[in-house]
Amino acid sequence: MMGLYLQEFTPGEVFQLGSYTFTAENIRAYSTAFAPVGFHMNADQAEQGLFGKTAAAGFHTCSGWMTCFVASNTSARTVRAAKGEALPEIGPSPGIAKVRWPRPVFPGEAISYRSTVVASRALASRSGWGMVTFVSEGHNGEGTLVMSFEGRVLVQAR
Amino acid sequence: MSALLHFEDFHEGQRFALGPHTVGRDAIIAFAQEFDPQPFHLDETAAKSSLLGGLAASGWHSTAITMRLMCDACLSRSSILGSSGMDEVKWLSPVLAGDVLSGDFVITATRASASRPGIGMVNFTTKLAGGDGRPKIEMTGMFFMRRRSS
Repeated sequence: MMGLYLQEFTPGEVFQLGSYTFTAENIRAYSTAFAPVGFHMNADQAEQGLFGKTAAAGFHTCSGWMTCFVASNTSARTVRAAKGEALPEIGPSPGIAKVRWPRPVFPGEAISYRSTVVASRALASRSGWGMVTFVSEGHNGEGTLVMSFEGRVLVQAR
Repeated sequence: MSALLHFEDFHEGQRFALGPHTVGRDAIIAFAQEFDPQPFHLDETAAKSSLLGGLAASGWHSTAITMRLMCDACLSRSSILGSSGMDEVKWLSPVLAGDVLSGDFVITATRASASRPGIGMVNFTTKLAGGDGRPKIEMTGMFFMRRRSS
């Protein structure tokens, strides 16, 4: 994660990951493929629903985080490699928890994402690897939280 | 009047079968190009030497497929209004190109909203496994559903 080894993570450290813009087109494409339900697909049903108009699917707003995270991660690894420093292998994630969508995301909104390190620990079950826990958030242009989740990723120890 | 499923049509213990759904190589690559462009989701050769052991779907892709299968099972013909979130999504083992996913979407609780008449909350657990029975993904969460009386 971010080209860092397990020992280099500090709880409280914040990674600003940039933004992803939701458009009528990418909202429709995602919802058509993965969330074809009335309130995402049909303008009349969206109007009568909880959000009042067509909004992005919840996991689309999470996937926007991933887009920003991968760009930041790739960039951090490139910078580190250019300095001639060793890079940890990219580890898998066992999953996410506490996924929250407190506000809908509408077409035209750019969501800014960040991830904050919560904890890091060595794994007794897997020598040379540890687990980093982080909270990821997305905010809209007014600074309102629209998405958050707790993520975990396996990170190589130095 | 409406043939849509409403809050009253869901109850604890209700089970919807999901799949079988084959996760194709091209679908894995297309999703990864847009949302998760890392070598083990894009390139078969790079993926073989990665920890995942082969071209694998992004966890966000397997999550999206899970939601789609739940839509196909019943949510697309329901009065679903959205969700405030999911308790947990577990990526138990890699979803590889060619894997055939199937599983269950089980309703675990239903509760009418006290603050919002006309709306109910439906909790669920969904599990998908590969063709060999190996667990792949498990999701626990909730969604809002319109009540029939509203």
